[in-house]
Amino acid sequence: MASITVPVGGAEREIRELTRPKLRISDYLRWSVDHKIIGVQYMVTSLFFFLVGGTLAMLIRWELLTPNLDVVQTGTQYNNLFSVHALVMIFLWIIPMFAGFGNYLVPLMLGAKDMAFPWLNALAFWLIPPAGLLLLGSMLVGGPEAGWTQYPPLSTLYSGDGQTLAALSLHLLGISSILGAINFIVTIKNMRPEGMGWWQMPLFCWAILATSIIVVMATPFLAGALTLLILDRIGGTSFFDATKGGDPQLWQNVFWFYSHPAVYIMVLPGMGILSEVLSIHARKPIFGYKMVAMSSMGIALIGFTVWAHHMFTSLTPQLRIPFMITSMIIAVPTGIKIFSWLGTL
Amino acid sequence: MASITPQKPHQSNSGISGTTIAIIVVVGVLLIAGGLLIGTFTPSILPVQASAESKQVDNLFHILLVIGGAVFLLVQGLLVYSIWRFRAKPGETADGINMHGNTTLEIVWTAIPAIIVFVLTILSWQVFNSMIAPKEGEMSIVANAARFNWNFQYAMPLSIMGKEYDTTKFSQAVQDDLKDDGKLTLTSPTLYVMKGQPVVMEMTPKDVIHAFWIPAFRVKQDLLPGRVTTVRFTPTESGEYLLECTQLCGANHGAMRAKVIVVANETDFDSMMMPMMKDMVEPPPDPIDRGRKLLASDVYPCYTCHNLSDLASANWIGNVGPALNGVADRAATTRSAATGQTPQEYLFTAIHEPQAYLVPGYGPLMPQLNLPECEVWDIVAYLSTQSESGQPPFTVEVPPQCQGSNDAAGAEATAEATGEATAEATGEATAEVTIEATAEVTTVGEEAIQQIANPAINGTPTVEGTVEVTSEVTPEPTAIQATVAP
Repeated sequence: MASITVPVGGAEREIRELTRPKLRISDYLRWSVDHKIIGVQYMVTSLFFFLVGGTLAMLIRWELLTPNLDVVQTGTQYNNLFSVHALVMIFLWIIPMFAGFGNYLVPLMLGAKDMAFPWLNALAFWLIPPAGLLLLGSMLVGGPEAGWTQYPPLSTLYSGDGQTLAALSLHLLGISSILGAINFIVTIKNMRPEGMGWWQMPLFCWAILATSIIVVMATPFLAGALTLLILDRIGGTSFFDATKGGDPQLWQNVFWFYSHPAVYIMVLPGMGILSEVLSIHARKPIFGYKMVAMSSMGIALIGFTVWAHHMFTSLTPQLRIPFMITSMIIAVPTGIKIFSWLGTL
Repeated sequence: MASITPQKPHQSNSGISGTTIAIIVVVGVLLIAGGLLIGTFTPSILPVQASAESKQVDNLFHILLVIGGAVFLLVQGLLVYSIWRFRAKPGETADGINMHGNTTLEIVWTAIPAIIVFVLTILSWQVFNSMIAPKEGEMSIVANAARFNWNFQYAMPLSIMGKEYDTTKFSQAVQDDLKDDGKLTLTSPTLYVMKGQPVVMEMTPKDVIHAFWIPAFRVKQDLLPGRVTTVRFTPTESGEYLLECTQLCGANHGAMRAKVIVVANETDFDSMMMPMMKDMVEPPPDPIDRGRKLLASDVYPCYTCHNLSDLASANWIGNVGPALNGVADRAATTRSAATGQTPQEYLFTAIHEPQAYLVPGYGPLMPQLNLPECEVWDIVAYLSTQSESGQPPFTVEVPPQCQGSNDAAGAEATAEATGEATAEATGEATAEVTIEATAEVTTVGEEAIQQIANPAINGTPTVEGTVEVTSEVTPEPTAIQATVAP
């Protein structure tokens, strides 16, 4: 060991307490490059959108109490409700919530002063509120009505203007995620202290690393798909319009090439948190640390080969087999994690 | 740190003793028994099995459930056991044992899932290949989906009607249909299939992506614009099942369903086809009747978006598109003024090229349905009667190729004459109906209807007059009622 931790003595602690500026609520409401403030900003903002998404879910359930239209006036409005609910929960709750955890914890776990690019970090956060408003505002202009998967031609030829706004909002959120992920990768790669090699890194950092690699590699595909969608809607193109030579399946392929890995964007940080919390409360080191870390990377890697299992009802039948195989294989690293957690106990 | 943990090896290396093996065997047997239990009782909540595929899929699912059930019990069992066995005892404040892993164990729990996955892959592959393989003697049915309705097309030979027809008397459209393969295309909003008869569905959507799903058959396949997708199944149980759209397609997606009827044999199947064929080879002579019948049959998706109180009994309560009540008045006034077309041209275009002119306040949502032109003319003829006053504000000239000639007299005779012609509904002989004067027509028509409605009367109504009607038409009494009304 190159260094040991020296407990902060009484006098020194007092000085720190005195010199640390007291944080006010207003500090969280303005531009800040402090990773902890940004972490809290992420978490509070996503919690707010969680409540918004939850309210939409309540409206959906309320509507479903009876077979008649009670809460909404038309079937389209009902479709708006669940489309916006889904988009809010995925892009404004789960993903930014974990970004919040990452921002708050990763520098602390690495013993780094802050993230590698504090300013970029703040920018990534501040893209979220306008994107959220844009998405919620889309409900006022005929809302997205094609679900969170936004399959064309329903989303291109048959939906209201809200669909365009939702796509723009997702664009902003995509940029935010990519900026955040680049920041995490660089922080984890370069800002580990001396003596902390890859294999000494906390498992949560491994999880965030795997997640960030997925984000950086997959999100540009979402951006590509959304750009084509917006062009089809307002630019007069026909990438997805079969009557003019386009192909609706193009969207499905590109969209799922992002959105299946996105499933792992949503679950890997959670698994990382579980690995840490379980180990601490069991008061034992994680069982099979390397395997757990590698399984995160394995999931990230295999996650890129399974996208078409979301298209089992639309894909050419012969192509379904390879995707079935990869989809089953991805159960193996997930199983490793679960058995390792059990082993830890 | 409060206390020092006794140093334990960082890798556990418990030797495998006889007791360990015994425990593993007992636990293994218990897990498999538990898996079988789960695998046996869970399928009872599945829908009925009504096709050969449903049995294959369920068998595979059963295997998955047994394996999954055993794994579930193993994981949950280990979790509960570990929480209990390794809990902190009162007074214990030290860290737990400092064990970092066990390479053998890790390899085992990576390899076993990998082997399970491998086996499942092979099994699934076999089932899937057999499901998509073309079957011998399979029947091809075309499925069309448009928001928010299904229809199914069958190619059937004229012979199912059990009598001879002079095909030259059919309308040009029907003759054209017969020309290539001697079969007529019948369109139905219900999917009829035969028990034991393999089916291949050839499917295309008219607008967005839809999905063909029959839970009782365990088959699901998307319909993609610009492609023809197929799905194969062999029904094994007679009965009525449900077909649902499972790809979000818009406002009334939840109502996009169709009935699937599995009939026991070919005779029953043909008898289901006969009324459809009859409408084609012996159509009501009046295009207004044909159009009404067509719309009321729910073959086309019109009703899912439009409202028409004249047909309110037949699901016509859609609210996505403009209501069709009084459409004839609007066609004759504002719409023809806006489009510069005659009212009938406007209505024809509105159905045939829906994007050509959009009613203010409505988006370009109506798909290009590509209905046969003659059917569109029939619908236009019927819609021309949908006016405030009940009188058509304009007359629709149906093109000659759309008129069959089996109602030779019908072309000239009044609608009432058709009513009388049906007097032979109960007999084989040609009906001879004579009408004295127009003033008496209504009365005569009613008499005729009464005779048809009552099969006991087997007579031929004879009224002095000149018009002679020869027909083999056997319309249903309700249809006649409609034609007789002023």
